[in-house]
Amino acid sequence: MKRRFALLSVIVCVVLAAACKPTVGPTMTSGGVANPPFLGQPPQDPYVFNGTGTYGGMFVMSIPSDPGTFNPITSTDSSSNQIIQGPVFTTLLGLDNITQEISSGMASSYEASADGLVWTFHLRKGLMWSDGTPFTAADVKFSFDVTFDPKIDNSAKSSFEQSDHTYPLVEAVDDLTVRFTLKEPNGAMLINVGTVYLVPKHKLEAAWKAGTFSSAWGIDVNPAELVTCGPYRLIEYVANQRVVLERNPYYWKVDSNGQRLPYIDRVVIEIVADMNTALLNFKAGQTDMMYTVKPEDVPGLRAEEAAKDFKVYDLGPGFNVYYFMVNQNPGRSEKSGKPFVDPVKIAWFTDVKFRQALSYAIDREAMVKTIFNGFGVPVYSQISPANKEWYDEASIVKYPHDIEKAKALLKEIGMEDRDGDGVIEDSKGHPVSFKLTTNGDNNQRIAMATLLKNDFKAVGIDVSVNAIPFQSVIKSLQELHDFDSVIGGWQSGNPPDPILSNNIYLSNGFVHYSNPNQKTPATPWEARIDELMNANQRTVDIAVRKERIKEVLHLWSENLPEIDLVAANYFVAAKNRFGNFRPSALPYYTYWNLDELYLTK
Amino acid sequence: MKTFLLRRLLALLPLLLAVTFITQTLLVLAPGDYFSKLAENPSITAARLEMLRAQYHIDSENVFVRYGYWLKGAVQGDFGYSFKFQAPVWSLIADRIVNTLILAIGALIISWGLAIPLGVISAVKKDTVFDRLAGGLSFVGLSIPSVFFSLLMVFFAQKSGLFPVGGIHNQVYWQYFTPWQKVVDTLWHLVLPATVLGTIGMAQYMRQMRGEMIETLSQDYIRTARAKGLSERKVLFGHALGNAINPLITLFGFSFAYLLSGAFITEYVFSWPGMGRLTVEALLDKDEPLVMASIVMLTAMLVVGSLLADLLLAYLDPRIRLE
Repeated sequence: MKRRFALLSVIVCVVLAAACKPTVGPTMTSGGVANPPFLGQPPQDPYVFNGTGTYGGMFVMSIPSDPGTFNPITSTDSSSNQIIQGPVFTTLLGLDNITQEISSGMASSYEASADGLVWTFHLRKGLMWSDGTPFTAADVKFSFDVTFDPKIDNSAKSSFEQSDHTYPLVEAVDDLTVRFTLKEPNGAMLINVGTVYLVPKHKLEAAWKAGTFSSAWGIDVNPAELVTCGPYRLIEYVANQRVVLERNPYYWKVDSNGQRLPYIDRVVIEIVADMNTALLNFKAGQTDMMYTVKPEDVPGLRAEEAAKDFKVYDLGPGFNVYYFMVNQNPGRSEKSGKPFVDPVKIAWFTDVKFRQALSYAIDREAMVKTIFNGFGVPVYSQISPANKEWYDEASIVKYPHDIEKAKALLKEIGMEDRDGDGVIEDSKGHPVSFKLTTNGDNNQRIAMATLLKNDFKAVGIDVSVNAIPFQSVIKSLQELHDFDSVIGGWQSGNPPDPILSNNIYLSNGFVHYSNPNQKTPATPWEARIDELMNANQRTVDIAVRKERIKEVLHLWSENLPEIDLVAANYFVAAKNRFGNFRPSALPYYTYWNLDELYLTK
Repeated sequence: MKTFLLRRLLALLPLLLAVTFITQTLLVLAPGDYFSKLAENPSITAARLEMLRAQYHIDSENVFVRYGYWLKGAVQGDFGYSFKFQAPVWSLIADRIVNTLILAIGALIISWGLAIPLGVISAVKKDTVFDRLAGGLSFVGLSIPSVFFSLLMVFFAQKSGLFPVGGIHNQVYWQYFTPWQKVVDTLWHLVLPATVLGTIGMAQYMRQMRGEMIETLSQDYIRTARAKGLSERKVLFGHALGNAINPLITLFGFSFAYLLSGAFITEYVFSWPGMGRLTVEALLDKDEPLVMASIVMLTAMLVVGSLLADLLLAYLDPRIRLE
């Protein structure tokens, strides 16, 4: 009987495998013809992409989880953003991920008044929504009005807020001109304008008036209703399975031959939760791209490059920075009246020489080697070297691994091993010993904790590692403030202007985790950073802002509110079938220029 | 019979209340909430987090306040909107339940279809090579971690190219398939995950079946049947099997409920869009309305599963009366 079963199952498998070869449907490869075809005419002054390509075909990728919404204004989760923000909706301005500079977008030009209070944006002539309705300044005004609506939560709003809690006045001067009137200059105005995705007034005004804008265009939206201004529009969404996009026939870019963009007909985004399965999917040829590859997967993937006709791209250091931080919060818990941190330890942690000694004691090179297979760089600032516009090597104080220097600094503040037990004592005789907290679900952070423990042991500091769930780490950082030290990471902002990281730099910022929510700056250097960052907030001139950031970088790395550790290299992989493929370590890594990509085979 | 059914279904109510209250308590006690993950984004403000928490009614740390809010909606049939998907929770669950049923039925066919014959043969041929081999197989099935087994199968699919690497459909061409191709495509995607779940279940039920069968075969009435001169076939299938299988039917009810909820790891690795994945992801995200509705759903399934097993048992075994 067993044999019959075995035989039967083999037959079933073979029959199934044979019957399931893909049949009719859209073609994978480019045929030179745009299908669906373009409609109407491109704008009279279209955005011209400097390059060419051929039409047709489809490309398949995967993301780890379902989008939460298709509404580009209220979307907060990364899965929604990576589908709709860029491929489906665009903004008045664009960002070139390679030069990291702001470019024109649906607005062909803009100007600011001399005092930085009035900003005027000029739209391209003849823009259309994906349903063929003209795109006008009224749509832009609508999108901003919705964004500024206090009842509608969204991530773009807070950066426009002025000192008196009002928002800039937005007016549609005529069909092609939008004017913003501010009460005070805003240094991040262009960046902020570039974060507001534009939505059609004619489709969403009714929902806004009815107070249901936040739930409009949820995941159950009828794709025909989702009228877009980006290169693609939604065709189908099946929960937990796939999102299918198709060319927006009215898109407003052309290439240098005058051909309209985008080149690729169709995009299929599969939802694959497990990272290992996603990688195997790519290796099996079911998907065309991996927009992120973990450093530990790189050697295995490279071994198959030639056989499977794909390529792994090393994009150099990424934007995400890992940090180590000691708690410098001298406050007390309101509930229990107890200090957040043991007063003995606070005395060490608030001593800048102690922090500098810790930084010297850390072997960042070893971290890069053992944790990231050598694919990474040591960093000494919250801004990663990947940030071309704002990183400034010369301003940063560096702490290359030097045990003797660390010991000397510790001795200077009275810390040395007097009883010969291998652990140093402070001047009052307390052994220098503290806890290091991080989230146990993150292998890299756990490995860093182990290395740090050894590094600190070499200078006589005793550290015990405490691995807890991510949510508990966040609670400790934001509410309880009861940690001794912590390993964490910062995600990159996009665009990577440090003005978007104000909450980290400002002493009253609630993610200024070393000592958050300060009423008045605790130290002179924190006061100076506050002054510089606040001045930048009100300055439009980018050269002046850059000078201030240099000083911030210097103060930060000299005083070490957090001790920055490493930035891992960013890797992506793609089949060798894409033209104009220019991957970047900024979102959305492989397909930030989706409208310019074309298929070579 | 009617009173029995009524009684069982009424008992579901206090059970649901207790389970949901415990779930809510754990959700409140566990650190963090749906919005904690925004914390590594440097441009988030404290005021915005506070506003969001108030808007979604998760600002109170008091379990009774939170549970009261949920219960008030639930008794009126309003289980709320998922935080993440901004859609009614039942519509999300309905989407997944069919997929979960497909996987569960596939796994059940494999596990029971193999467990019963293998268990019976092992019992009959006790202590032979076949029995040892089957025993060995079942120990492997019992001890292999499902995550490892699943990954192994996905890896096999990638290396051999015989099966798709995860998923439930061919996502690229699905809409262009004929209905027949759709069925075949789904079955083709089903083979590996159903094999994983089926093997793990099979191992357990086979041991159970073997034990029951050995015990039954030593009963007096089996000796009587053989003494009457009945063929071995009639003795085994007519007299022994019917009696030996009773305890397994109870297991069947639970195994069904387990497959609906406990297949999370396999669903995750194979990208199978099922209930288990939905629930666990909601739990990790702390998407509270979705967690609560899933818990209600799974509890009800467990009760209904065991109820079905009881009914089946009563139908098969004339000695049992349901009062």
